[in-house]
Amino acid sequence: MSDALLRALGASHGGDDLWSAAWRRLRGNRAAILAAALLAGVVVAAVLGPSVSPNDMESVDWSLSPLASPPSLANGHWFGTDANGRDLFVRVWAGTRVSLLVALLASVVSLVIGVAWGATAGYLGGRVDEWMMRLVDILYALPYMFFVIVLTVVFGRSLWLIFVAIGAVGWLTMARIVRGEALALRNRGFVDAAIALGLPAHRIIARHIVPNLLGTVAVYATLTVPQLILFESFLSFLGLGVQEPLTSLGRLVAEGALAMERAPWQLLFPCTVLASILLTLNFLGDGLRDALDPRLT
Amino acid sequence: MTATRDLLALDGLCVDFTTAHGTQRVVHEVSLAVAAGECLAVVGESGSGKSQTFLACLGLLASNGCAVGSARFAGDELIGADSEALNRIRGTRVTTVFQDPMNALTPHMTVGSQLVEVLTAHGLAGERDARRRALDALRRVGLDDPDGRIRQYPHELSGGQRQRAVIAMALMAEPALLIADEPTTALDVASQAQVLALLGGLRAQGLAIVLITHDLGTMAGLADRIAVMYGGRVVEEGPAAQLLAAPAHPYTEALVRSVPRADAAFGQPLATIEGQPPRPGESLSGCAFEPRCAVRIARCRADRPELRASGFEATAACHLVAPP
Repeated sequence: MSDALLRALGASHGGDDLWSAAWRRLRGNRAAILAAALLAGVVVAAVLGPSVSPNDMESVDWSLSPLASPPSLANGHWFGTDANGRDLFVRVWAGTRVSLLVALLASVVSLVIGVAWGATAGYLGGRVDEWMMRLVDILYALPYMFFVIVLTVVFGRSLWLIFVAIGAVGWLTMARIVRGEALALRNRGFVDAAIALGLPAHRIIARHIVPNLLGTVAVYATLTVPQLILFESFLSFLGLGVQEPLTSLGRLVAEGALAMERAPWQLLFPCTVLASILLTLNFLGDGLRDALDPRLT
Repeated sequence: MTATRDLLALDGLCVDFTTAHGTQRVVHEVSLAVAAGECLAVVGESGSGKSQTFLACLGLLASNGCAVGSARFAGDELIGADSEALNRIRGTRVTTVFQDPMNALTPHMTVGSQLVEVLTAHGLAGERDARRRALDALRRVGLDDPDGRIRQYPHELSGGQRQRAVIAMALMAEPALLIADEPTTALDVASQAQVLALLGGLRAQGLAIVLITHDLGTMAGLADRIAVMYGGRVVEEGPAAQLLAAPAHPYTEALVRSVPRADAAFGQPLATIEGQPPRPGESLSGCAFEPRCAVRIARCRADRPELRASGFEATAACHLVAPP
């Protein structure tokens, strides 16, 4: 995460010192920085990986016998091949790309909607809160798969639709968590003081409520990313997610699990990448929570 | 007292709270006035309605609270005004300092940006100008090392320093009236004295102050006028020196007597007022202080005394008060 990105986030947020101070504190957290570096490595590999290898993700290597070949430097299949003789190195990094994109965009969607919705409901309270949260309850109760199936039927299959569909369900829990926090913050003295200073409600929400619950949000967001990655693979399994020959980490793990005994590398490589993404995200989320709290330094 | 002279004029202000037990009136027909540049101290025990009276003026009551009556600031009616109209006055013309400085500052913002926000949010100044004025305000409240403090977070400041920062925040927009709700209660004695000296200095510079307190000691030398509240009503109001030297109401007299004195002989018991103040919302046909009053007469139980003249520009609500 670069300084410029943090500044951009800060600017959109209206807080001048929150993000630059958080970045300064995050830099002091060795575990978080190490995790960020590792994650950056995975991202770079996902972007560049497929073009480094001489193979592509669709073609079957007919020269192999059997088609599922173990990792080898000699035949150019560094991570081996899958059951259909396709290069696993390219497929793992292409799948990582899809999974990261899905997880990132979907969590941004759920973060933005969930925080805005929950903070507004919690701060305003009363009848507004009542109506806003009842809507969340209704959306919770909707059979979600049905919703996704209708979406795919109406708009056709596309990667973007998956982002929207996953994000649309992800914000509900986020809104509930944020609303609870906002409800508690609303009774703190500094909110009364802000009202007494004549600050309008939207400003109090954006500057005095939201920054105070970012720690919780950061942790929850890092917890949702793995959920979203797994959810995408579930959608793919039902034929509603990404389609062959395109793949995702979730799909690769599912396929690898089937061949676990005969071809363990098919499970090992996508699993390692998935696990390192999840692990680094957890460290990063933890570091972010600490960095966002000025009292912890 | 004429309406044009008064900066803040309360007239028959009542505050009701709706609870599970029905509607309770905690402030009864309070009429008070603060002139420009004047310091009014409002004294009373906890639950006497002194804070709620002024919170009601600024539309800061809890959501189950409701104010009726009239409160005019510089001629503008505040009771029933919408939050937009109130926001034009709150923080700019009338500012508030609350009791607990530990909680009054947002933990995630530096002191400086909270001060700056007061001006920028109201569109009164740009970022740079506001920052310069924030430094001025911190200097004005006597905070040491303002250039350093402006970049610090609230938790890096002590209680007394925080209360100064909160007062600086209240001064940012050059208000005409400062409402200080027990500004020294949460502070240690040394910080208390400093904050009071600071308020005295601001008062000397022409700022009108409403000082809400339960401690008579904090207002000596600061207040021009004192209003004593009991059971949600003003029971005595008058010039500070006169009221403290010759209290007309038995409650005021008991309050003055119960201020602990450092020069009292060792072993001498502290003077107290026997009994409990009435519960908010308790309906009494007579004087609320009657059960605790040392000089009560038969009439006090059934007949509530109205405020009447008790001295020069002073009123008291007691049957025993002789007209001057």
